[in-house]
Amino acid sequence: MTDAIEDFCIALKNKDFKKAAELVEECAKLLVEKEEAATPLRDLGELIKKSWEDEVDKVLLRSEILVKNVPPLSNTLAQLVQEYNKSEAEKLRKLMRALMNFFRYYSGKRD
Amino acid sequence: MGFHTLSSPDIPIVLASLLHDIGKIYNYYENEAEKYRTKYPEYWHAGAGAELLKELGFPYVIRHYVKYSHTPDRIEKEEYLSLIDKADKTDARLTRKREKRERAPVSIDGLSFEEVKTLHGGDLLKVLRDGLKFKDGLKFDETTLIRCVSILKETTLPLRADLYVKDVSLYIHSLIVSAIVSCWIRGEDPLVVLVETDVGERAKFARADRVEYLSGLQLYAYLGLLGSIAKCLRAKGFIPDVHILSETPLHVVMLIPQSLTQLLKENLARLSEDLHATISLKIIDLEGEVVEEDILRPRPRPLRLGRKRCHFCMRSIPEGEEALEGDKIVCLDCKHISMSYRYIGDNSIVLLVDGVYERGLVYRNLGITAILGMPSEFKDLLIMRLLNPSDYRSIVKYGIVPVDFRVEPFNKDYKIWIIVDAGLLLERFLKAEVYKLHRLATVCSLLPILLENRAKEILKDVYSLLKLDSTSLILQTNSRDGALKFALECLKIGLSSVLVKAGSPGFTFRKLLTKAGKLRVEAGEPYVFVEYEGGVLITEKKYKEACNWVENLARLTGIPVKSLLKIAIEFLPTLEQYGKYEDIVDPVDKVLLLSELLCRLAPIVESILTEDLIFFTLDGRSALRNALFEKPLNELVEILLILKVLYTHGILPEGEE
Repeated sequence: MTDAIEDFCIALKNKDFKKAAELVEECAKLLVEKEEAATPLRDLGELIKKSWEDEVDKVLLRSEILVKNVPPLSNTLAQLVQEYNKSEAEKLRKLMRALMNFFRYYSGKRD
Repeated sequence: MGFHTLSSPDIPIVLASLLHDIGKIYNYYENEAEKYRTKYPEYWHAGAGAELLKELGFPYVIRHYVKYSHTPDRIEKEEYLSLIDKADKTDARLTRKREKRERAPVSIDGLSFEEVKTLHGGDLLKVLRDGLKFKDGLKFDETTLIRCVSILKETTLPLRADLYVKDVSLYIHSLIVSAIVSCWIRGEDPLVVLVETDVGERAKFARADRVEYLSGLQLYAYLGLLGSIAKCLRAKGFIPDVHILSETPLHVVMLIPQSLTQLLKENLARLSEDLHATISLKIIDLEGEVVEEDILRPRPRPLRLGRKRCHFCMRSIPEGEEALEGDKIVCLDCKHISMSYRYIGDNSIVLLVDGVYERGLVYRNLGITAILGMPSEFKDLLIMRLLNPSDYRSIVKYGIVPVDFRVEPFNKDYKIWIIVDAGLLLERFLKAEVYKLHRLATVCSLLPILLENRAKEILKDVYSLLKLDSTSLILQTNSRDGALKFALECLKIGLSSVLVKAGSPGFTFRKLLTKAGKLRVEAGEPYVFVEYEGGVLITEKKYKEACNWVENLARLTGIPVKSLLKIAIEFLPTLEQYGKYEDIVDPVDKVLLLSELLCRLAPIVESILTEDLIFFTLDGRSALRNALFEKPLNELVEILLILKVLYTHGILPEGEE
């Protein structure tokens, strides 16, 4: 049985943004419950804001994402950097921002 | 006494109708009630009433009528008895539909057996016994009847006619039965008439330099109403006090013979000329159907060049009608109005006399005069009232129908004005399935008293009553918090309020009346409108919703209501700024906006909860999030606006009881 974080990742991989939007809040809550540290998550959010134009950008970004080690989010995001086009990347950025906002609210931590 | 009335054989039956339920006073004395319940298994109160009247020295005929008032079939050839029984059932049992009956051992205003007192603070039985003792023997005349009406009003107005039925006063029930019998016995059909004087137009010229003018205007209007009704009833020999069910400064409910309605309209039209104010009347049959509605307007007095203008009403003064009030030139009508204020005092006996007497307040068109004095001085007495009795002893002493006329002058230091409007409540009572008339008359009689008591309780002595009658109350105060608290208390019983900052006295008075009338239609339900809080409209439904919402949230989150209110108020500008996330179609954009709102809520929550030393769990956060966003944003903003107003006035919302 998969949890909300895994389901969120699957939805992103399937480019099912509607499903991902439905799951993002639950995903943030679960991250809070699992006492995930705020800093690597925030870093992930910041990284995904960057644009990736060519293969060099992509590989650099993927390496920076993977080093944050927030499973299974890091792996999923690293994969998406490779697969998403421009408009899909924009949606991903919005969803990650929402994830960070929800995390901020549910964790009660300022940073 | 100088009444021109028939010393008719009708008086015993009218008197008996008035006293037919007097035994119900024992409902408020459990031991006595138990004794009579055992002695008279059926209609114990009728037997008890007859015994009480015997103790007071009432003649056999009255006791006989009272004892058998509910069982006329036991006595042969007693048509009068069946009249009382039939009148008793009118209104109460018109429909087959019965109300849910729950016995509640309280008075109309919610007091327990032990707490109930007479209107002016006496013990029920003591006042009744002292007031209905006739030292020189009881005579079947109008003086006796008026004394009985006065003492019954003092003792039984706050009591329930039936312990199982809310909002129906024993006094009103007794009066309705006697008024119906008084009509039927002369072959007349009774109709209910509601009369209301609109002084708003006149009031707009009331200025701070003549502070007594407005309260004087209301007394003048009230006495004029009373006089025009009494004059009409006297025309056919009816005793007015039996037919006037409820009276307040600008509002009277009465039950009169159908044949007198035309004459009443004529008298009221003359009065409208004297007052230079509009008078509206509504005629209703005993089944609660409106038969006729009319508005009587005075003829306009054209402005004439070269004529002096009245200092108060600003109209041109007709030739030869100039009068002086202090150093100001006024018209004759305003002269009397400005003099009226001097008549408001404790234990003043005001007589309404047919004809024009120079020493009193004259109604030139109606042809009557209001005079302070003793009834024996005048032969053409129409009706009289005991104004502002200091306590129940005055009513026992004089035996004159008491009226509390609590209208006071402006206080220039009080900056907040409130109108409490009973329009919707009165309409609701008129639509009641049973006891329409009883309820309407009861609410008209008791509402001003209840409102004044509540105002006293909440606003202490920091207020001035400018208008107090069955349709509305206007008061001034300096306490913003108290004003809103009072308005919300009124909302709980179905009354609407408008709160504004004071402007010019006369214009503020009129503005309140106009605004309340407009909102009554627009809101369609009881409300509180706070103009100086950005025009917040708190309807009865929204108020309950807001209170329940925050109480429920407190329960789900474990956060005290006060802390929740602080959070909600701080969060409100963000919500208003972000606007309508419901309009966003794209699910990603929608969830992003929601998350942004929560992200802005987070620091507010943290700082307030840290300040209030409250630990907040993840479940609590989920509950708060759900409560905030389960409703459409505009509804949420409405609720938070209401809570903000409550909080800033130091009021913690109470959930539905």
